[in-house]
Amino acid sequence: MQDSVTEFTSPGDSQSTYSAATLLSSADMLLLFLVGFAGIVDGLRIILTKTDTVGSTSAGGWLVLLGALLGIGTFKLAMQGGIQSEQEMAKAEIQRQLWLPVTVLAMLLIYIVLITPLGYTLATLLFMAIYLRVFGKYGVLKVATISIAFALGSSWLWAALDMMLPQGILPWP
Amino acid sequence: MDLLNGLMTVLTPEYLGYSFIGCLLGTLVGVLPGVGAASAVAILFPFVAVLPPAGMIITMAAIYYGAQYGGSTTAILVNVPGEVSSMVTAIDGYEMTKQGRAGPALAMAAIASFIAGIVGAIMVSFVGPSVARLALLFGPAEYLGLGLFSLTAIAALAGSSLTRAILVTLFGMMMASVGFDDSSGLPRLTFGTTALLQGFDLVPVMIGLFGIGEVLASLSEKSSPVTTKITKLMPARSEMSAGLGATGRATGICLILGLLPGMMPSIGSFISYSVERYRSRTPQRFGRGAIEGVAASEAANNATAMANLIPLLGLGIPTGPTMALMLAAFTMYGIVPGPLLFTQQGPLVWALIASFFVGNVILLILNLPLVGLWVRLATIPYAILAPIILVICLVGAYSTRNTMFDVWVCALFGMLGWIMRTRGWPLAPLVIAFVLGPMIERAGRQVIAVSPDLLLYRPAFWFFIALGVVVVWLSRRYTVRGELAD
Repeated sequence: MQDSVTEFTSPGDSQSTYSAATLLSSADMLLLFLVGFAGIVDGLRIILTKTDTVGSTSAGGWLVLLGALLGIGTFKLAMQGGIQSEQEMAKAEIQRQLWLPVTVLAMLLIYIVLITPLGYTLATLLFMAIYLRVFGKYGVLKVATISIAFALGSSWLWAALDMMLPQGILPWP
Repeated sequence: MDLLNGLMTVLTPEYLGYSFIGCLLGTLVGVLPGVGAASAVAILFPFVAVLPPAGMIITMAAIYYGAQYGGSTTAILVNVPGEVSSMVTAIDGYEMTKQGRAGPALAMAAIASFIAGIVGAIMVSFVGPSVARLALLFGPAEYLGLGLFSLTAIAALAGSSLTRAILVTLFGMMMASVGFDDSSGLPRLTFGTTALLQGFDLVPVMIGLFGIGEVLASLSEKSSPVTTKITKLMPARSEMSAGLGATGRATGICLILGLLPGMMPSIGSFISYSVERYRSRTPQRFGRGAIEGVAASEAANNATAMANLIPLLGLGIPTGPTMALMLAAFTMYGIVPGPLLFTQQGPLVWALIASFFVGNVILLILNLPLVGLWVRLATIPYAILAPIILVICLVGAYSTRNTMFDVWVCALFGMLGWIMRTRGWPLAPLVIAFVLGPMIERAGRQVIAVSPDLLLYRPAFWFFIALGVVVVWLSRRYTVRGELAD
């Protein structure tokens, strides 16, 4: 089967990755608790404050039920110590290049922010160009060719499919 | 007679064109490393939404089984499965490629998929209407039981941890509750935010989880370059015979198992592969290029996918993420899958079922001669493909409701999907819970409104609960794992 990329090999890295794994495991539980808590709080809010609205009790009750089950289940999972042993989690983290997807995700979020002011075509051109240059390490000419071709070609295609994407500062498409 | 009419409809140039485009697009996207069938359907869904209803649904179905075949191609040639079900194909398929037998592996995959697809389509055409007629007898209690059973089954079959799967299910139902409550009109989980009043749409959620999430997860994986040349295409007679036998067995098993919610093609593949290895007189060949392994896995994929359509069309219950998207496609045009579908939208449904026959023929004709093209596509560097796929995902999310909110939702769920993948949380229960949660809530509230005692007089409700318990017990007893033990 496909071998995962092994990037970290020094004991120091293993130690920090083990700690990161433990922290991430806690973050999982915390997120679930928060969502469950939010459900209970909002459900109770609806039940207690919207008494004059038909169906408010069941509308809020559903959230309270889900939130309570989520909280109980998360507590149970936390008591079980998660599913993977801490060694397995550390190993799983070692075997992944976390920096790459995190960086790409950050770039993606910046791209989304820029779509509205710059427009789809320009924002896409920039995103493609930076991605290909940084991660693909292609030459300037290849980067420019692919980026411009994709940005313009896709803009034309979306317009042909009647998809009105943000135009931004360009007058086309 | 209905099937015949459906066939006549589908064999017109317009519908043949839809099937062809769907198969081509599906295979094209499925061949791309890191993009599975569910991702392909999720990513392409907004773009086929511009088609008329029948065209869109036929194209989506064609994309689905086209993408499944495309994923198998990369699994066999470069050992990069497009999705979990292709992992099983890769076990023996890639070994065959290393032995210079890539052609027979690809051919066997295509033939097994074709046979399973045709048999599955026949089953859908006979069983689907019967299930729909049965569902006409269902009331809120039955739908509540069916919904709970579906979620339980999906959670039980989603992975080795039932607790995690249930938590993900609850999380999915919570996400589905965001926005206005249908019955009372009250905003829920919006925290005073106007944007959240519209709730989360299924399409951006799916595109995020399965499109962006999968791309992010694939970034750290490196694929082996394709160095083999494909010369001889067809398997030897003995290989063909062995492969066809495995195809028949896998098809039979998975057409029945595929009726269960949560029985996704990936699980069918694992089960069929295990059965073949168990019954073989030479089990040591498995994992070293046994053509039965490829045939069983591929036949199981398609058979399960076809069988999954029966609960969707007859009951309106999606059994997996892709079926959930099909349900969204139906709903977009006001077509409600379920008991009345075969009566109210008969021509559409029969055209869809007939398109399965036609689509499988098109796939067989399309894929074998074009295998060289698919090989070239599979070698496009991921550094070029990844940003293109990401952009297409975001555009698809935007086009759902023409709002940047959906783009942000897509990105958020993409991040969630990536984190869930790396942290070992199952994804499918989240999607199915997102779709079924509102139905279960509605049925539950109807039962309470009438009287909770209603449940005591509805044996079907208890039947579904008992079935759920059985599925959970069986899944714990025979845990289906991602990796097969040697």
